[in-house]
Amino acid sequence: MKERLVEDWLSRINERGYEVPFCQTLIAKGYRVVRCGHSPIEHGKDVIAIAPDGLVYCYQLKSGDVAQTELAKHLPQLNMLVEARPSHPSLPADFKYCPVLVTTGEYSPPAVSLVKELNGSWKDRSLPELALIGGRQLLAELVSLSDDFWPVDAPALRQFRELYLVDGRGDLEVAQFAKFIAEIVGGLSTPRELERKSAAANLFASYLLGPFYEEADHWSIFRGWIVCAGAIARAGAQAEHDSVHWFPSFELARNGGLTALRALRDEALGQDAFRVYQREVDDYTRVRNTITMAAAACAQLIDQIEGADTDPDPILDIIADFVTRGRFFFWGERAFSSFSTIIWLLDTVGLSEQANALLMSVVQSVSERNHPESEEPYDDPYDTEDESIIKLLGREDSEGNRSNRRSVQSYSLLPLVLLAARRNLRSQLEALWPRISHVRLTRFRADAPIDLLSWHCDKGREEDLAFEQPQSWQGLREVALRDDSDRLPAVIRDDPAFALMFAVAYPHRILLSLTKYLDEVVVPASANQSKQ
Amino acid sequence: MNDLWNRCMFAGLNGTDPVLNDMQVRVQKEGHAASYGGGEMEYKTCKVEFKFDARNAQGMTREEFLGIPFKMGAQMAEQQIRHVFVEVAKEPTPHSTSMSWPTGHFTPDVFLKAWESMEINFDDQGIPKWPTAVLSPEAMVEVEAKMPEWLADPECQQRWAELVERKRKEFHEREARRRLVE
Repeated sequence: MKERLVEDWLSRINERGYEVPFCQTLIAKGYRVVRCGHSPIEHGKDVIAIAPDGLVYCYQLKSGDVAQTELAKHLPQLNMLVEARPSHPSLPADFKYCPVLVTTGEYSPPAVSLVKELNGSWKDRSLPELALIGGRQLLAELVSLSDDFWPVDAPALRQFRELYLVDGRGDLEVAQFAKFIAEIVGGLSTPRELERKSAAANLFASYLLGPFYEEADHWSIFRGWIVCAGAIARAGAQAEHDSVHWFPSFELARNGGLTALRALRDEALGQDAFRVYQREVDDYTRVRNTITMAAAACAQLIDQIEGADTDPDPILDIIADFVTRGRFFFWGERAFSSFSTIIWLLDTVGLSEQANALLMSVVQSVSERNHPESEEPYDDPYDTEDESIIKLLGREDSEGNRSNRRSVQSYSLLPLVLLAARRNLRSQLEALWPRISHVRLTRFRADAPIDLLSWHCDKGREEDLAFEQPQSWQGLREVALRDDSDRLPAVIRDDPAFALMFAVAYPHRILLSLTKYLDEVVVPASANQSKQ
Repeated sequence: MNDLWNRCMFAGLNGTDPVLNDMQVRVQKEGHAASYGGGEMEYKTCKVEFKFDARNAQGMTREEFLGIPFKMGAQMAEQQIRHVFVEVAKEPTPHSTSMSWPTGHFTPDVFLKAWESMEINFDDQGIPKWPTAVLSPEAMVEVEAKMPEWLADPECQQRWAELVERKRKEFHEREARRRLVE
């Protein structure tokens, strides 16, 4: 059954969808993966890895059966794969390289024959020969790598089946997915077991994200990989083994998320990307606009952190247009991470006035809607987008539901106010303060920072807070500028790009420490200015 | 079927006690501990039981299937509200207090004393938002009988007006503190 299932997945997955599991098979054989993923500068090399003997392998990934005509069609790419020497900062100064063509299907005999002929000609020119890896070899390696981790008890099996049998047209059930992955990678482990569990987590994540790769649902793929990366990092930190036993798998999952995020950004920048073709309620459209542009802003911020020379103007044009036309939507407190990401992008490119206006509009809105007696408070960040829209449309099944009796507080107002304090927006806050001071504030603190990486955390405290009456501005500034990053998991503290992706992928995890940390590392200028 | 059973139980839990219906509920989303309104949240288990004796080729009637869980929910609501009263009676706070008087001797002082100790807010038109008072049926009869007399009594009215003004002043002082200072 296991082999059949992996075979079924392999027969349907496209080349992007099996990049991570393929790299995982390399890591299992002791290779060091230095690049994984398509990019404009790949020159036919989707994956570059260094074997234990020092030989550099360059892989081009394809999907499906490869016939001679197919091969001939890809000849320019194959030439680049073989003839262009790989270039990457992690490669040694002097190395030999071996180009490999990989596919999830099989090579037809004429295709194999053509490769033999091409190899002869490349060899004559002192170039390396092209090796082939087919679906059968891949299947055997993937099955052996995940063999020990298949769910065996009934609830886990049912959960796996439910997750695997989706058609990829709806959103990924992230909570369920996170629970499944956490179970694979969790528990006590020896260093070797931790390596195998981390690898298995990535393989199962790939299997479960397969339908979303088929539908090119980059948002679901992004969230799936970041949740998987979080689960691996948490297991690694809990096991207290050297990071060498989990970090390579973490990095693959993290980069899988980043690749999907960039693909979503590229899609958002395409012509008519936001055009609505089917019947849908405008609230839903505006939620999608907001999340998509937050993802695009996140990708842009990461490019800026990594020093990539990507032009932010196309994204900024869309943001400006959406702000002007009211095409963004703060639908509930879960929208905090989307809005803060967009605000950070505006800040980094010097559009502080627009950033501050957007920030203060959200502060005003939350303080007006989430006072204790409000009958229409924003949903808390644990309510999904779909749940919030259903409530907005008044279609909530209210039998036995006492949402009308729920106490009202805010998870987002404290971080929002402190972002404003970091930006020295005292007069704007003063004008809203009577409202702001009425709102009961809530925050969640995990007992151990590493548990923040889990989707649902049982070990921690939810605390109610209130602003002082009167509230000292200096006190507010002190809290706003205080470094709380020791409350964050090391994997977030050490990797601002992952921290940004985490904030976007885990919108319910509204953390003051994370917000301040990102504001400091993503927008150092604003923090420096406000410290003056 | 389980879903329907649970929904009936929650309908009983949430729809049967008028006091409980008026109270806000804080739903904890994560973690094992919480604080609320300045105090540590202390969870108590409410427990109701249901026993089904096996029947030969016969299930529950519709009335049983829908009514039993509703009743169980109502019993849980009763346990909840009993616990609320126990907690309220323990210690007065700005938001809750208990009132007591010898049977048959309910006076305006009982109300005035209770309201005096509590925080009273006012709406935008300056009208006080009085807390809800929960009385036993016997006490309710007593209060209803005496209320017209109190309302007609100038001294009682005077004391009531003085209380409102004191509470209004306190409210304005509280609201005036809602500001940012250096």
